[in-house]
Amino acid sequence: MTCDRVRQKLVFYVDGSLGDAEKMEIEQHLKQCNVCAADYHVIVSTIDAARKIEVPEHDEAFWKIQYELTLSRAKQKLHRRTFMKRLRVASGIIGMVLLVFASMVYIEKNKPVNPVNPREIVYSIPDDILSESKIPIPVDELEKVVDSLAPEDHMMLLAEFLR
Amino acid sequence: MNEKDFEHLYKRYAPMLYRTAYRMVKNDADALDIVQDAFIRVFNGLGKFRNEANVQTWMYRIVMNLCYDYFRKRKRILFVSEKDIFDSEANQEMPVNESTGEFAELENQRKQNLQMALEKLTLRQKTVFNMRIYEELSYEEISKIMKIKVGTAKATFFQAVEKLKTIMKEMEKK
Repeated sequence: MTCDRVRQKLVFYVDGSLGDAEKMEIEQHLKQCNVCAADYHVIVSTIDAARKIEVPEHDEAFWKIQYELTLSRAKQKLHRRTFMKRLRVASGIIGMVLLVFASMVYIEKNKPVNPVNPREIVYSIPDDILSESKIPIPVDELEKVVDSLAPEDHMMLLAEFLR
Repeated sequence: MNEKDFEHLYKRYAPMLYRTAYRMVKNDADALDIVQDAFIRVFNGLGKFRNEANVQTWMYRIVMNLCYDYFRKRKRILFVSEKDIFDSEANQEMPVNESTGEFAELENQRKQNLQMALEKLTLRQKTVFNMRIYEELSYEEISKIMKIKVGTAKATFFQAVEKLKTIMKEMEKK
């Protein structure tokens, strides 16, 4: 194994993740090469120093209190989340109802007004006027004449009638 | 989730996750906050846990994400400038204890140097280094937690050690 190759593998040799064959090759090389051996010692001392960096230790009673605090906060958060979820569903339903209502009002307000067809107006002509004695032509003839009138004649007739 | 299961998980993993978080944020209160937030997520989201990953991997990932959020929020500068390192090193008067031998003093100095050198690692290098050295996780486990390839985890660890080695050498020369 060359020095370059050994130096690429040294870190993994120190952390113990190499296979037996590679381990043996490196050990062999370290016995013969002082430069690589020096590099090996630097890596070992760096990792050893890192392992000696302490982290504050907490006892069981401390973790028990921490657990209670965490559980209570977790429950609060869960309740808040459930409440917010329900609130969102309720707001959604209310929103939908309001939207449907507003749409109905809008549709009703903007309904197109059909122009009045004068032909569809039912004249309620008093019976005595319609009596054949007062009209020079029979009633069915008169109806035919009325049907054949132009809309503006209908309007005139209606105006005359209402006057 | 069942409170009994939660308590079991907490007892088993909280101290370990605390150590991981502490090594990242270097602050007791912040590390405890991270552990608490992680367990709140666990309590409220165990349904989302997929069985293919193990609980430990899943919890480590939550803690790692929270640590990353912590750094993002605080906009903490991870790279301490060279000047800062040597200035702080120069300003730190080592308490000389008569009973402490030269070797212990040297060890202490080395530990302090290394702590400063660790701050120079990138967040990813620091995470991989901590998981490998302190938690003794395999590269496969690290790759699952960090969602990276095994080769990337190995390369990151290699880069981290090389960087530490270089910084330590420079510090010792001074």
